[in-house]
Amino acid sequence: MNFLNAVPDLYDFLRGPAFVFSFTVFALGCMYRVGQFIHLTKKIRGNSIAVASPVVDDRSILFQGKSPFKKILLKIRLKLRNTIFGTNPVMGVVSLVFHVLLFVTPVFLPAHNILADQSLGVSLFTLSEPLMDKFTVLMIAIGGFFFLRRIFIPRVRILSTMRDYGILLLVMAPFLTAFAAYHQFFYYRTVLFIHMIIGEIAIMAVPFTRLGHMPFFILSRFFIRGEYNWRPANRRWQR
Amino acid sequence: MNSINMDTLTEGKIRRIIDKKKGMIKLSLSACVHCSICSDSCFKFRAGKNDPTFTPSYKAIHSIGKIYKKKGRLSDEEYEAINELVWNKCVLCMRCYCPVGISIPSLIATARNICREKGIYRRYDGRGKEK
Repeated sequence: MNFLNAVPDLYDFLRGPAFVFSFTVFALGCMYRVGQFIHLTKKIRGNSIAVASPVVDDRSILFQGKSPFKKILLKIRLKLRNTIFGTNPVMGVVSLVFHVLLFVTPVFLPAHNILADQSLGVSLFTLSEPLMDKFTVLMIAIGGFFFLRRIFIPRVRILSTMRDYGILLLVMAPFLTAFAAYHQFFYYRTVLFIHMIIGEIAIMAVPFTRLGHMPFFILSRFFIRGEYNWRPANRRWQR
Repeated sequence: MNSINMDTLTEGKIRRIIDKKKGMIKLSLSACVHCSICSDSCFKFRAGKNDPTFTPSYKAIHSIGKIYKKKGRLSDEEYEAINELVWNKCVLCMRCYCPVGISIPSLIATARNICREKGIYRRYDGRGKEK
């Protein structure tokens, strides 16, 4: 794999124009999705859709005789009852950790911020490398959990297609290659190039594949009026 | 006998329903990550001994997803399978919870609309389909 040492330009290309291109595709793709969402939804004027409220909602009896701490816990439990944290807490926590780390690990990684500083003169604060290494291992472990879940749980298996496995691999590949590159397994430069190429492909794929659930989640959960959604929730699908 | 049994009028009506909801169906189905988390919120799934075909996203994908993909041109057998999913395995109680924010009831309701145009709806006389 020494031939890769002979192409130092590839590294500069991947960290420069290729990254700018992939980020531009990502940004334009997300803007397209936002435009599509605005086109397919309609703003609700006033209270044209009445939000159902129970006729009797006296929950005070539940709180009677409980300490303030238990009252707070009960309030949280009641709030989360209908969400993933109420119905499947393990999956809820695992998913939350996965999605938070998916953002935190690459954005606050020292190596990425050094590159940003060298290229643009700006960088964010960073977290320590050993901590990031642990986050990466945790991400790989959760990725493995999702993979096994797809194979062994019937209700997930029945829905899974090859595309789902491919998307999971696409998301996990940058973390696997990052781990291998950081610990200098295999040929460092080859692994690094694969990491950069797959990472950039993954960024570009977000608005156009199932990873599109990222912009969709924000648009749907914050802007579509519904029982489970958060404010402003002032739109509805066109009829 | 041709298994694709659709007269022009019904075909037109079905196409109009699909065209009207095309964007929402396409966007929703493309955003579904097939996580099956919605199954926990379905009482039919819980009561049905965890039969995976009661998973709300399965019901949506294998009803409106199929109809959308084939533009409504499905065989009678395929419509019968959809009938089972959208009328017998779902009561449209609107309690399914999608963490991504997909409106699964809207998708199943659209599939029901299309089934109605085909004369397929919930029957209480054991026949299941209008003749």
